[in-house]
Amino acid sequence: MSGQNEQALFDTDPSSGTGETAIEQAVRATLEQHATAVPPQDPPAARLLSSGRARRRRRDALTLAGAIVVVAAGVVGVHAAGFGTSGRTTPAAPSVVSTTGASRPAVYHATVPKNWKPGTKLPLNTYSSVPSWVQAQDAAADLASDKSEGHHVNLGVSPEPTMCLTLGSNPIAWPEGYYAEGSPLVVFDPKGRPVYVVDQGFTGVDGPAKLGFGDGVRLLPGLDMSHCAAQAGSGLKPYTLAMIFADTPRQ
Amino acid sequence: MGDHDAFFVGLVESRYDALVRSAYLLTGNVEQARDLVQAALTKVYAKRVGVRDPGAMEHYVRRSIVNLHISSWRRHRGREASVAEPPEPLARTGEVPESVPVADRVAAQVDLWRALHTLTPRQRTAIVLRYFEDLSVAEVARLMDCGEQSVKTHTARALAHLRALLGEHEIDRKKEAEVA
Repeated sequence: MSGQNEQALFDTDPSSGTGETAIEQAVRATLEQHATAVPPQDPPAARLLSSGRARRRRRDALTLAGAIVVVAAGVVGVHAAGFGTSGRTTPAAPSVVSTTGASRPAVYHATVPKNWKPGTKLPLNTYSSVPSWVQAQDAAADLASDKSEGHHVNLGVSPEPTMCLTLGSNPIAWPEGYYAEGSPLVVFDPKGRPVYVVDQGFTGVDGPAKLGFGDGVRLLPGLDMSHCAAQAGSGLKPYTLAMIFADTPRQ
Repeated sequence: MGDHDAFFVGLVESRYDALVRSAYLLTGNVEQARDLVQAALTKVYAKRVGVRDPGAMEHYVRRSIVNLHISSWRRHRGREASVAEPPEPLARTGEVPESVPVADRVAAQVDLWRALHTLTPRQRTAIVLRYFEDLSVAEVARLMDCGEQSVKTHTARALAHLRALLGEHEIDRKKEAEVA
């Protein structure tokens, strides 16, 4: 019997008071027996020190890169928050998207809530949300101007900011599920992907160029704007983007 | 070489073999044990653990070994391992003369070593730390980053598993007869 096992046996003796069961004694003896079977090796201190230093350098580099990313993300977030000032209190998780404004060379960052859902569809087959920065009263006044020119405009039922407002105008029809947000206005498809940008201010009051006809702005897929182009060519105000919706609560 | 480096080298030179032995009991393979210890030492050095409290370095190395071992098991579980010979079934009690003392008899007649490796990594870790390192339940809990009750549960289940596997009822009965 090995010395270790003798010790184990001694410890297992009920008179010793350890109270270990036979299986515990056996486990202890087995572990000690096998541990001694490991051949000693010269500690590779120098190699471990070297690999530790290399790993530390990589770790430090990643930490620095991560810090830069975090700072950059913070700057972008502040920038986006500056554009998207709203009276809404629900902090929906925003996704920052970058789009290029039609008449602005700078990249625009708009915050879009991932959980945004359109409200009840209006009688018009066009709809969007009202950008949070819009003063509904102002928009209504602009639209009233359009209406006075014979455009089909549905004014919102409520002039309160952040309440719904109808900016409706035929014949521009948006595919269902598209919405607009931000300043300048960014249009998103139902999955929240930016589709195209119109300039700040409501379309229809800013003139054809601001609507982006022919100036590089991507149009909604499937949207026939030939009639609008004709209008723009004649110098008339284009038909306004529409929309009206109660500003759907962020959920 | 700074103080931290000097302490690290000192730790490696003085405790390397002990750490490998402990890791070997967890893995059951010497080479894996060495890899585990070296990975843990490298990791702890890179994280600058022990710069302020050199005494904590070994604790973190041991903790890293435990975590790396369990993580490694999780990554590789379910994979088939090639072996040179098919494993034999574990021996049962009753094949060794009763004149042999209990502890030796159990260790000899059953392949307890192999039985230990049928435990889950957390159970085996608890067993090794409790019965080889002789750590208290609280110390094991700190190393395994779990509650003391979890350590007790792992230990009890491991022993129950071994007991069921090896038929300790038979052992106890013989032991009692021997004592009497």
